[in-house]
Amino acid sequence: MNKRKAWGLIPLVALIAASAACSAKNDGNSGASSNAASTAAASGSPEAKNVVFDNGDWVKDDDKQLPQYEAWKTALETEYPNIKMTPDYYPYDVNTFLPKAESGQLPNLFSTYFTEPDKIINAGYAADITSFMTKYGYDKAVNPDMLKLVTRDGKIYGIPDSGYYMGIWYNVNLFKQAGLLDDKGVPKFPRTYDELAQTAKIIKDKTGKFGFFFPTENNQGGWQFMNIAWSYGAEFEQQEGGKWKAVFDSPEAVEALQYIKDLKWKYDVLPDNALVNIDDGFRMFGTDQVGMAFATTDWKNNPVNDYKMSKDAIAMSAVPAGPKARVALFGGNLRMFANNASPEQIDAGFKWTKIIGKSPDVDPDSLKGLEDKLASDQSQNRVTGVHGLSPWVNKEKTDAENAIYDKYRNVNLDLWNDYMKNEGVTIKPEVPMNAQELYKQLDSVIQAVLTDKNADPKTLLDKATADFQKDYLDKAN
Amino acid sequence: MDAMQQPLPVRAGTEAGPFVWKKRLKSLSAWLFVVPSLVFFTVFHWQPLLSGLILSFYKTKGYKAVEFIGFRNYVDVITNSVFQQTFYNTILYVFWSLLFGFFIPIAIAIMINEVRRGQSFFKFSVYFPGMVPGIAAALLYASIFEPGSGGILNALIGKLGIAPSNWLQNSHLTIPLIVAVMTWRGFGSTAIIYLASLQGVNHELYEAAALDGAGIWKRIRHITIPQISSIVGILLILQIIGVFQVLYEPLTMTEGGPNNASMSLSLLGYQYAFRYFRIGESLAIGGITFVILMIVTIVYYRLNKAIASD
Repeated sequence: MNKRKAWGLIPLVALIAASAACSAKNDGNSGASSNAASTAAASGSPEAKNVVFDNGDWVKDDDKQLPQYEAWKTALETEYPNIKMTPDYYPYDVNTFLPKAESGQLPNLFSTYFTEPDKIINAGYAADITSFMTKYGYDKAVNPDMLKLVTRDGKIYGIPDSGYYMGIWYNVNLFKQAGLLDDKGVPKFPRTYDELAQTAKIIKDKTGKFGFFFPTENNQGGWQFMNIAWSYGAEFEQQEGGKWKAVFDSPEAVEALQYIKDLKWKYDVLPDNALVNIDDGFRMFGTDQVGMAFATTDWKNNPVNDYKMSKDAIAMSAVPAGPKARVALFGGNLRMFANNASPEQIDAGFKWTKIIGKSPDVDPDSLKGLEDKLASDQSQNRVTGVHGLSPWVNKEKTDAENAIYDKYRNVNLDLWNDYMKNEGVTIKPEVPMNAQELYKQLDSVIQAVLTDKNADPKTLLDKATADFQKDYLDKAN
Repeated sequence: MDAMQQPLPVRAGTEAGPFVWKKRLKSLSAWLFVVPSLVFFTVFHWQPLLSGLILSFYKTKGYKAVEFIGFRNYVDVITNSVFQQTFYNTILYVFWSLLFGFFIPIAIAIMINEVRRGQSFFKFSVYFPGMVPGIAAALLYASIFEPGSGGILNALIGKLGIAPSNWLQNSHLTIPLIVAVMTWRGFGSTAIIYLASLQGVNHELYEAAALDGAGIWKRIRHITIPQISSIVGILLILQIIGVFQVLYEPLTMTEGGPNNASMSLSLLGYQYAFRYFRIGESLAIGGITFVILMIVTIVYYRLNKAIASD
């Protein structure tokens, strides 16, 4: 071979090397399942098959909870020597989920929230875990309303982890500056939406900071608007003669949208920037720029972790009442398994769930995970011991969990009790049809009333209702 | 390079013999150089493009084709209530980008070309914004355009006694402002391409024109512009193609708002796919964009050819 031809081979060699590198990566990724499928331990029983469990239910490298997670990993691998767990931190994100799922790169186990399983199940990206839910007793122990959200055609696709109903967060620092604390140092919680607007105005007038935060992007505006609109008596979807009809062009919905508009133009209590999402909310709330916001219990440590907010500067109440009702949206978190996870990997995921104290079992081993977590949270000055809806219906389990919450509570319960009792509030799940598309539609009308003083809520809602009917419900009917 | 110039052994099949095999071997290295690009384009461009187009005619489950449904995805996205506004917005993006961004790079390139001292400094200065990562630039300007008296730009104009503006949240200003940011970041690299083209213009032409008494405007009109007209045409088409697919600036600066005022076709396609997992509809948006841009390009080249033949 002459010199020129030898040079000519370089690109081919490079190409082969690149292909080899690609396939090596693939091999690495598929290793989990191939290991699980092919390697058997000495006993030869299915339980003892060696398995590499790729766990997305993990924390960031710089998270203070990392030692706790490492300890759980060690506990899992010690108790089940055939399981090797690979931490693969994956915070669910709509921007990354689709490419990861389609390319088979999802971790075996991942967490997400109740707004998502519908489309994940529809797209076929979640594994059917019905047999495991039955085997480990989740099917009987989980709150049926939550179980319904992860069940499709009789098959279960997720493990409900925690539930919440919306409430209102209060920045105690700003309430103190505004003179809105009672004798016990607890914010004077507004009981109606009118009171909420008045309270927000006092905060704005007294402190110069924004009274209330309301997101408008990423479908979050529509999502939070449900609480207000339902409380004003509005409905969104109704089934008439077997057909779905969009009904949010009602005077009640218009009144609710007018309320949002008034927060901006009449009371002037919302942030100047009208194109914001919940991450902006955490930032503004955590840095004392905002007095109140809709919130859920599972966000309680975001401002503490990310913006060094004091755990004692957060208070939470039930949602206020509207003219017709007092309704809070119901939601929560769940765990799902990727569609390419092997049965052994799913089984390892259930074992992991038990180790971290999220199984329905009531024995000390199963409760230890929750106890470890709360002890760790308490030692790091995170908000500890307050909670939303329990995913369990067995009293023994909830009592045992509540005892642990009481033991590790490190915040003034007066700041949270109103939310936890949630008296007089009706809890409602998301609308049944195209909830995300509805939120998007509502995001747009909310943006319109917050950026244009002359926008007419009725005209906007009439159009949004007609569009939603035409674009989605007519196609579903 | 001579290996590249060898004729391809197209007739080898009919006259196999030592001579043909020798020729084949000779062209082997040429093929080996071509293969990586060929594989790259096939795997990363043509195959996804083709698969995407095919999938846009199917009902999808994730990325899996479930059922052939003809043009239903196309009909669904075109009849969707936001499509019309989105399409109009996308044309507005192109219009504003041509208005802001088409002539500025040409003018800047001509100016730098005329500069006798410190040309490198000006080249660097012009290109500098192009080195800022796109998302970073978008986020930077989103904070500059923050509404209310606390916004950076509002604070600056407040010093001049001008009332604060809502900037990106004014639905009439959203697209022009996003295009201004795109132009800020992109005009430098276009200007450098024009400059390279200008520096290829034969200087004797300018000298001859100068001797004949032509001033700077006459030199630009009669020498510079005709000499760079072909590159102007190509960059015009590239700009239209690029801006028509605008995605991450509206995604990061406004998320398509307020009330869809800055929604672009690509962003709509992105939302179909990533937010609602409706891959078929998302790909139908891609298909529509592809067809429109192909028509624009064909029309341009036909016109160009007609003008040239006149």
